Amino acid sequence: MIELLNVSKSYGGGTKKAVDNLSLTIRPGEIFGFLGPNGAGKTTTIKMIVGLLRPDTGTVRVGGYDVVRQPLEAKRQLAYVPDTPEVYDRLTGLEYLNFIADVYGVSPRERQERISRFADAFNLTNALLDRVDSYSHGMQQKLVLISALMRNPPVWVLDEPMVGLDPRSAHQLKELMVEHTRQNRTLFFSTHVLEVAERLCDRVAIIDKGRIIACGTLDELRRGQTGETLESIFLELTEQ
Amino acid sequence: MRNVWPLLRVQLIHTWRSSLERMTGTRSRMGLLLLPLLVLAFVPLIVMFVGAFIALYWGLNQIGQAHYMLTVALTAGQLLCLVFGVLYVISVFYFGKDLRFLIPLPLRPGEIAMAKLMTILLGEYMTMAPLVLPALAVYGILADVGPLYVPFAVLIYLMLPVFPLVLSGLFSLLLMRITAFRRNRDLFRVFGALIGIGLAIAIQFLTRFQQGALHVEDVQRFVEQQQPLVQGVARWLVTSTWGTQALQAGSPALGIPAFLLFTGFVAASLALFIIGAERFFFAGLLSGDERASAARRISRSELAERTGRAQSPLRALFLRELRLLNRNPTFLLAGVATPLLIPLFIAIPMATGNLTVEGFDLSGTAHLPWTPVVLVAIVFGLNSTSAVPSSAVSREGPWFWISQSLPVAPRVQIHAKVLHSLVFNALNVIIVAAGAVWLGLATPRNLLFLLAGGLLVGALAGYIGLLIDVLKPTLHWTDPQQAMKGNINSLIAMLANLVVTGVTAGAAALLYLAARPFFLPGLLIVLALEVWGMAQVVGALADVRYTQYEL
Repeated sequence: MIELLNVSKSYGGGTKKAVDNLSLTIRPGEIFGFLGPNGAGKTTTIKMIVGLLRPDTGTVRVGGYDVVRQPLEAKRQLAYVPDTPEVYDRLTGLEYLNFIADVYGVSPRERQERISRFADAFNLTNALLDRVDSYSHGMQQKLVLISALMRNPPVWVLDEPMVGLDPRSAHQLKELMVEHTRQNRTLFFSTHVLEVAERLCDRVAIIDKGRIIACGTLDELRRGQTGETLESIFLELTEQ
Repeated sequence: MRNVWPLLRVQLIHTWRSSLERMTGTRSRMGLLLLPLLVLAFVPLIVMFVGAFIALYWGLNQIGQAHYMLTVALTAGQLLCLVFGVLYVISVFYFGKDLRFLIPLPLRPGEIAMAKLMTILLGEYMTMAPLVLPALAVYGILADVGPLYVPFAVLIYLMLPVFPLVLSGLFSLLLMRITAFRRNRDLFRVFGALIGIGLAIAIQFLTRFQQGALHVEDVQRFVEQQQPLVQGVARWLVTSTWGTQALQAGSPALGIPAFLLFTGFVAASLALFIIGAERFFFAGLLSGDERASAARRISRSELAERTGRAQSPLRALFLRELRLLNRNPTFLLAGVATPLLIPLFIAIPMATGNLTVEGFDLSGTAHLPWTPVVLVAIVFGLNSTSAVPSSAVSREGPWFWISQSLPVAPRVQIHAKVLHSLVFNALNVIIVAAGAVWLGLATPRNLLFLLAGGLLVGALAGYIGLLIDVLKPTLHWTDPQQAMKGNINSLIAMLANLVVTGVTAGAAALLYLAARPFFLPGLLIVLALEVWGMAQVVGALADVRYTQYEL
């Protein structure tokens, strides 16, 4: 479960409000899509959820833990995949995965099984002994995804997870996302691919200029709008 | 070649901004205020060269060859451009981040190469300035020069680096065309660093011969000994001979043809460079940008074996630090070169007999109460020069989000970094212990205190370096060099270490006066308390600061 209560964040000494009094609750078993134009505040919100940014005001809770007051407990609850997958370039893929497994306390048996399974699923097994600086953007994205998923935490927070993935890997990821929420776990992800959001999400929120301008199921969003598809609703709402 | 000017303009703006940022350590325009201070730092070097050239002038004047001073200066300046030019040209031409934008543009290879060469040229004016400008000024003032001297001197100075740079450029173009150097930037960096270290050691060896002031006899001996060498080099860097003839005191009628020859040769060499660039520049560039993969598949059993061991978070963090530093030559060389070179620079004059220790019976001081303290102080001094702890957070740069999102307290991450820096600081204990053995100071008491105290000051220097880097890390960098050389935290950490040395020395003096039998154990306790206190402070600070950095 993720809860954001009256969260605000400004940059440039308070002159530019990136997130403005945002409140959201994402329930267990729910795939929640977070949409918005470039610079709307999506990544800032996500960074506050995972503890990379501290909100100016408001509270963020992950799995019941306050991200600011109980950061370590909150971090154990979640897996985070950033929009730009920067990974230590001098480590091999396997060294990076072992490092993450060590600091998260993943047992040898679990990591053996999960690294093997996810590396096969994302077709990365044969590159695990290569250094990350020889990886393409998509391969780095897969490595970060595997490092996040192998911990099997209750909350997944994914920032533009499909960017750079080949169609097969993107399909695999979508399957894993659905499987994750079937186990009554939480998934929060941002995307610009509205078709994916439309097909996968139980609920979506649209953020613009730091404020939530719409939130609900697709049916709820359609009410009061002329458009039928998520794309037309998105365009209608963000043009206003 | 019509695109050279707009390209050059952009290159100059970029070079100016990044150089200013690198030199002053700040993006702010206030960094400009630091520039006069940086220039002031070169004043002693310039004064030294002025003195040497005056002595050289008068020495040569006695044998009627005063103009030979110009040949020496112009050749030395060109040689400097030639040696550093190769590294500079390869770095700018083949590893510049702008190439990926420039290559798809409708620009000729010669145009890009020409614009890049011009930006390097500006850097070379700075490199040559402390060496060549004093010579031109000294000759202009002391010799009976004509009215054309000043305009010729200015124009020759402006054209002087062109020919050696063209030679460096053509060599680099061919080198990159026929080798796979471009695919291994690390190898290039190690090569560059080794040249730098080699030069530094060579200078150290050479300076031991220069004792006191330069006399006329020295100059004459120098001319006799070195003339064939200078003439040999000048024959290759022919422009320095023509430059000398153009500037030489005498009739302008003799100077003008030499100047025209000089200018024509520079223009011809530029034309040759453009032809070479058109032919080889893109061919060398397109030899590949990506790192080759290991191309080794992992078997099921190997994967199971390699993932079948768990480690504690502290050990995992320590190994991460070790691998990231050891596998990055920029980090490794900048971190360990200075602490390793300082003892070497001290040892060279000792070994070659200049700073002889034969007259001192140092073994007689081995049993003094302060001797092991001095040894530990030397270890602390060497530790202070290491950039490993003071860049430990900065080195994470674009990957810092990983540390921020780990469920491991920042204070634990800091302890892992200190453990890592302790590995390097322990090397200093070994170096000083070897020195102590050499100087006859290696009594069991001294070595035991050196070991215990050395490890404590290793941890202390680690925490002090981290204190500075935790307070203000340089996390926004695109090139590892920015995290190390462009990071003034190392300098600030050295000053902080100096303050702690002062405080510890005061405590040691008090202990010595108040409880002499307890002096050495007491001092170890003081050091241990300092380490503990500093660990608490840095740990608490990291817990706060790690959540405040915004990437």
